[in-house]
Amino acid sequence: AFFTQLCAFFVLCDFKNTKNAIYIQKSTPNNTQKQAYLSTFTNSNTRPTGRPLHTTRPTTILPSILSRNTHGSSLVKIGNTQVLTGITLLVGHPGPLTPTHGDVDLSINLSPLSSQDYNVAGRLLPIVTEGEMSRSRTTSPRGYVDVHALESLVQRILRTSSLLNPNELCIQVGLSAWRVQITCMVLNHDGNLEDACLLGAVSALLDLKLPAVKIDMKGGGNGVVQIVSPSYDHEEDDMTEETKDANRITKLTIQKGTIPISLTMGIYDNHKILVDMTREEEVVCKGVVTVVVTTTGEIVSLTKCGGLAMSPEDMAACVHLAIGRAKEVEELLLSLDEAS
Amino acid sequence: MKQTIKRPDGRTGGGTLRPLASELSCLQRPDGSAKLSSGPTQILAAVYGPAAPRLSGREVKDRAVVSVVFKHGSKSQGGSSSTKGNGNGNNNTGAPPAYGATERELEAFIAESLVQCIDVKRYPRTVIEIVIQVIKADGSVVGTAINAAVLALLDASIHMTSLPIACTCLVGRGIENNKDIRLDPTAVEEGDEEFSTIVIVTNASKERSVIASINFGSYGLSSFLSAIEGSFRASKTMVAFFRLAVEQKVVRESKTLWSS
Repeated sequence: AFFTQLCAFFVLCDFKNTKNAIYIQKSTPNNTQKQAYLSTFTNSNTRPTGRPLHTTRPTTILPSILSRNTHGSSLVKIGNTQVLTGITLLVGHPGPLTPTHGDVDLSINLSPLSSQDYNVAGRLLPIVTEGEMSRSRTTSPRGYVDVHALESLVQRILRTSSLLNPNELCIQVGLSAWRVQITCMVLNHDGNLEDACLLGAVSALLDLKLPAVKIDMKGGGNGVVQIVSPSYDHEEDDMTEETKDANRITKLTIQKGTIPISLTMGIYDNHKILVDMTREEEVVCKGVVTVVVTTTGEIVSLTKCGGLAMSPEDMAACVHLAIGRAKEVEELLLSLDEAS
Repeated sequence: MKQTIKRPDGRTGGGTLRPLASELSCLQRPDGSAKLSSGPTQILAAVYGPAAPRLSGREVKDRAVVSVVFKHGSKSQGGSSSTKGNGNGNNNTGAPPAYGATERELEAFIAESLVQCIDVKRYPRTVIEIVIQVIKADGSVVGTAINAAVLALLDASIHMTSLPIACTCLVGRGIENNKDIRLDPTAVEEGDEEFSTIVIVTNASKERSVIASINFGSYGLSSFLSAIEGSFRASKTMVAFFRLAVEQKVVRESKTLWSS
């Protein structure tokens, strides 16, 4: 990217520090230099890569990418940001008030693979860089995402949108239901993780194939739920009723207009709205708005996490941008659905 | 906002807030503390700072770092272990206080809203820590928590560039819902499937400016814009209340020769 031209790396061994840590110190441009650089472009309503302010990066969705161990999966690429999502299934006990409801759990993995700012545990590394703000739990510059906050946001969106009908996850009323475990692994963090993780989770859910089950009563009690693996050996006529049943996998019914699609925008100087920021833009933006809508115009979630104050008219403009994005992404998702 | 709606707790009118009560400097150890009640909902906020950070790696050379700790009460259900924002088996009377959001997400949200309004450049290389404890949750928890934090910051005499006021609004769920908006909902109203909750933080020092917003449940754009208008109006009431609270504290302290 454009900043690498201004970068020089050198390794510093600091023995004064009690932990004898080795820091990789980057001589990168500081915040004011980055802002000045970006401003020269935004003043003419464009960005360093030539992308207009209100355009997203090219989005690619590859469903069923991990077919062996997962029941649904997808790889989402928004520009250079890549998120791999896999769904595994567990069987759980439904709550007493909702005997037919299943559950959805989400977890997001960030690691040194995604970006050099994270350690193996997924936590932000306290890298010391010249003249930069150091990372702390809050007021870290944008782009240094707190994984738990992001997980909570995406999980809430999935649960409160009408995309997933929890009744479809029921196996035995009052006794067992599916627990859908969605795991998003960020392969490359180049900005806009919120959009990529939500899109990954949604496309994996669209790809989810619930297997046929058999209740084994031999163990006593309420019986053990067993997944019956489909058999591909026999011809259609040769199959017994049982194998036919096993091959009956169910996909979730998705209605048009219920898919939550997000658009994250940054607020920059002079109230310019930068849609779908890259990593370098995220760091210098003064605020972020994430709008999640369905194509019917229903706002599933609107999170403006601090940052520069906006007028209600600006916020309405953000919502309209998000609805436009929702229409193009939903078309893409449904076309993949039909193709599979 | 219609004046004739009857609310479950006896209020009439969508724009009526619950009675506010506050106590500043209620704790001795922290630099600033405030207990704010909005009807039955009671939140305690404490501010420590500006102080040197415990780990020198945390400090930033030209500004203060703001960190927020948010704790639910022991009886309220924190965490995301519920589906569709409904409580676990025990609680039928309303949504869990966090509406299904984890404490981490709320901490990040509250910190981002407050850091916008604190004059952080005035306190370089320090940490300002805000601790928020929910004592009793009966609706509008996040909004009241932010307001309590602001009062605590005022109590700690930390310089602010603007005054953020949070307002919780209840709007009809879904896009076709044209229900009137209601301010300052109770837990029972929030738990109603027909409604969604929006928390809007506005800048009371500047006309028509929204600092932060978060929501629990879906709604349409027109409901959102009405909620913003409602928050602008409610923030004027809140500012008057804050003024009263701080004036009372100053009068009380001036009466004692040496205040603790």
